[in-house]
Amino acid sequence: MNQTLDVAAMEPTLELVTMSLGGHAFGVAVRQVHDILGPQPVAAVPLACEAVAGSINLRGRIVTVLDLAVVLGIDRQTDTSRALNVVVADDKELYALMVDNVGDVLTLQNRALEPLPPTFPAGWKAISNGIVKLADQLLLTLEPERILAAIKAQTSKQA
Amino acid sequence: MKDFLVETAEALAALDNDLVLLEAAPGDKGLISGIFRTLHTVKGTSGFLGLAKLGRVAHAGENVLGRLRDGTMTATPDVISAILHCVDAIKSIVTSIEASGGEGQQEYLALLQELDTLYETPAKAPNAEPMTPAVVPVSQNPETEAKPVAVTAPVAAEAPAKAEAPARADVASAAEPPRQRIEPAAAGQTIRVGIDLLETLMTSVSELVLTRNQLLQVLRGEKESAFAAPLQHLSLITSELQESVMKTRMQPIGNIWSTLPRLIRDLARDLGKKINLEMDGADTELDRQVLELIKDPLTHIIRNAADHGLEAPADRLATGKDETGRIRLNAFHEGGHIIVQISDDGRGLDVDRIRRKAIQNGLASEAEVATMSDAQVFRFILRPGFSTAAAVTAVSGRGVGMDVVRVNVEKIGGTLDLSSTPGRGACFTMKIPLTLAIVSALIVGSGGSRFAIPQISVVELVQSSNSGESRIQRIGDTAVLRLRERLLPLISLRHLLRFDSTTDARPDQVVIVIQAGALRFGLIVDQVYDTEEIVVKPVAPVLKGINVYSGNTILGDGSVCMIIDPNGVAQHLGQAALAVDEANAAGRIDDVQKSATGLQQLLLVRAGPGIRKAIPLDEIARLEEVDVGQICHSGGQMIVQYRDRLMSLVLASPDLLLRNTGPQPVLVFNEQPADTRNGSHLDRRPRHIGLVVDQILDITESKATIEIDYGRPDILGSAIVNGEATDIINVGYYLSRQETGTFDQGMYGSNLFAKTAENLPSSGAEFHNSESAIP
Repeated sequence: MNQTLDVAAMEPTLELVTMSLGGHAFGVAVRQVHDILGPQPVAAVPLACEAVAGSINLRGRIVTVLDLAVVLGIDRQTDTSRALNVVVADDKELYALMVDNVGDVLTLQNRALEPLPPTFPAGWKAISNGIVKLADQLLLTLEPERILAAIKAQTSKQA
Repeated sequence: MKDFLVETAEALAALDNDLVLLEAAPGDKGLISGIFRTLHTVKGTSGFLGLAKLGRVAHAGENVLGRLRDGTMTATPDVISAILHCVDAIKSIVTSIEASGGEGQQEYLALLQELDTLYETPAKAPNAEPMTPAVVPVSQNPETEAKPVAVTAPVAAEAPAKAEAPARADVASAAEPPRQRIEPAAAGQTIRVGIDLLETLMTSVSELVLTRNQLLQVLRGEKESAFAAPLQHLSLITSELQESVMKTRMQPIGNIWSTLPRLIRDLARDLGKKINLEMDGADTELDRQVLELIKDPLTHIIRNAADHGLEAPADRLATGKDETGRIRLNAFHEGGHIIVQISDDGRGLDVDRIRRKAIQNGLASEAEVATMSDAQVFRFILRPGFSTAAAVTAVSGRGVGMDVVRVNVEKIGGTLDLSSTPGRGACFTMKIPLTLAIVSALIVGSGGSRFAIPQISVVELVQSSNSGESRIQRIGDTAVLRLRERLLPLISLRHLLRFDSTTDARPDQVVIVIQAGALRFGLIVDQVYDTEEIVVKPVAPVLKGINVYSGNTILGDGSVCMIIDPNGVAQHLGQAALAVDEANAAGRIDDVQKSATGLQQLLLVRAGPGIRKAIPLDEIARLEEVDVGQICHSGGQMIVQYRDRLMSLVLASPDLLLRNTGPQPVLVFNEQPADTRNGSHLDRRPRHIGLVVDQILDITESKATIEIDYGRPDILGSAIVNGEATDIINVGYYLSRQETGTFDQGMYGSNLFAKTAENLPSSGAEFHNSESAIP
């Protein structure tokens, strides 16, 4: 009946919070981002796997901080004490991704997302669901639940 | 639909109890009507919701109850069983609807037939012997406080008359004032709130408290502030709010006891025994979460008591006991914990059989077992794979059990103990924390981070030194702590958490002596900060695999802190732990041997003029120093505040003079009131009694053979201890002089949520005996 809707508006879009780490650009879907925090005092969790940087107190909730640099095996550009935290929710549990910097929110069309070329390391492919061509660089989209799955897999391998 | 399920589930839970009560009092019209009405409602609603199977089952049950109600049938155990089965069937259908939305596959044909047969059978002789196990709850719970009425002749007389006019009976029952399960007034005052909402509320309140604390911190920095008064007010309200939110988590233990009358009834029937279940302290409140976790252990112990503990009626009569066995449940508060006692008046534990079994199962050698005390032998039944039941019954005796119970109780930071008198019965005592959400914890530092250790596992704090009585000694790379001539395995928290791997050889270290299950060990930390009441939060799933932590928390200053799980640390001690455990066991045997040879640990003190005095060390709970200024005099008694309670003080010698100022040494004794049967639960906590002395001299091990007996009640006599004449104090005399707990009644209870100053970190000079060591 109602055919007057704009076709472009119907097209599924993707809103990404962009962040940078070690010179690379990453994006996480906006609906998965709970909070963005400045540098926080991080309490160490000894014996935890390497990717776990510690925990922080987010308004009475304890949030586990994950060091994305360790997960991806890259070097961060800022010191961890000055790192920003992108808090993401996974199944009601909150996790913070430690990154160098947080940028704008990008709105993209879903078709802009391309699968990762097969030449990427397995570790990257495991936590990313696609790549977006930006004007000056490439942006990797991250799936928080897949990051956690990767960390859990790592932990069990260590054990 | 959801409301229907919840309401039905609740109504059914109450039905079990009502039916058991009905069995005890088959003529209780009120009960029958109540049960009838519940089933009728279920039937009605299920018809309305189109649940055909549920309707059929409820209808069949209702038919039989109709018979009972108009007196054409008597509530014999068989009838009750059939109705109970009917209730079970309804329950399983309701569960199935809840889980899958369908009524399930089972058709309950046999049950329906059984109920229909009962319904169609002509009225049985009303004088059918009601061979029933009576279950009389002693609880204050209004739901179960229906007064059983004895079967009387009028029931029989009325029966035929009612049978002739069933229609009239229906009308009569409809006109009867409904026996509401919940008082109408109470119903309006209760609402259902989801657990999630309560948890959220709890988190918000914790955060509010932290913010309040930060504000107060800021305020302290200001000299004069317009915010002072409103902040004080805010602070007060916040505390009240926190307390109220905490209370929403608390539930009376009676909630999980409500299923027990039915359990006992079924057990009694299955085992052919007569069992009387008594419940006391059902209104004792504890955390919902803890309640859930002790449900299974509790049920298990009760099953065991009914099956193994109580004898068959014939055996009971033969030993001169009442035919009906008694299982008694008792719950009460004690020092920030809940004590749940499950006692029976059965045959008690068979020491010899446990000894034999322990040797058979290779748990101990014959020589070891022979030197163990009965209490030590009893503890074998808490070991894995140990069952002494001669015959495996359907109820229990398969050798999986008590150890699982113990592990489950220990998992929530509780302890399980047992005592038994041959022929008189056994008593299991569960000591469990009030709540898992808030625990008192010792905050320690290691490797620059802070960690919390649950206070319940901390036995004492020791500052080791080169020369003192607590020394760290090394053999190769292994360090052990010599503490009062006991060797304790040592583990460094730094080491454990892999902050560094070098072995710290300093002799002066802070060692926290921790009891985890049967194992006692020392944990070396860098610093001890403080005790704090912490809100335990579960760790994130990514960290679940690390068994050293039992959770995490946010401290008063807002920082996150991991909570150390003593049981997890014990596991890290691994194989070494087992070996030391054995050694400890051997050490205990050693103690027994010492007492067999008459050697005893004695505390030497000076009290008043005359020769020095000695007290057997194992009777003393703690050594404390009391500030003389804090001592109050009341009714000729000296009392002092001790650990949030009042402790009465007595002088160890009539000639002893108190110091004018400063600390006065006091030996603290725990007195367990002798009679635990009467009085309210408040009276049953052990009281502290302080014996005032002039000076604590030494601890020695000696044979205390009384050489001269003066015939004085306060002194057992004089003995030679370490080559010096010493009076041995008769502790029993001082304890018996104390009348029942008139000093501390009502002092407890209200301060469950208050910060307690209990177990403040202490210097190595003070020592704490574990309380359980006091007989």
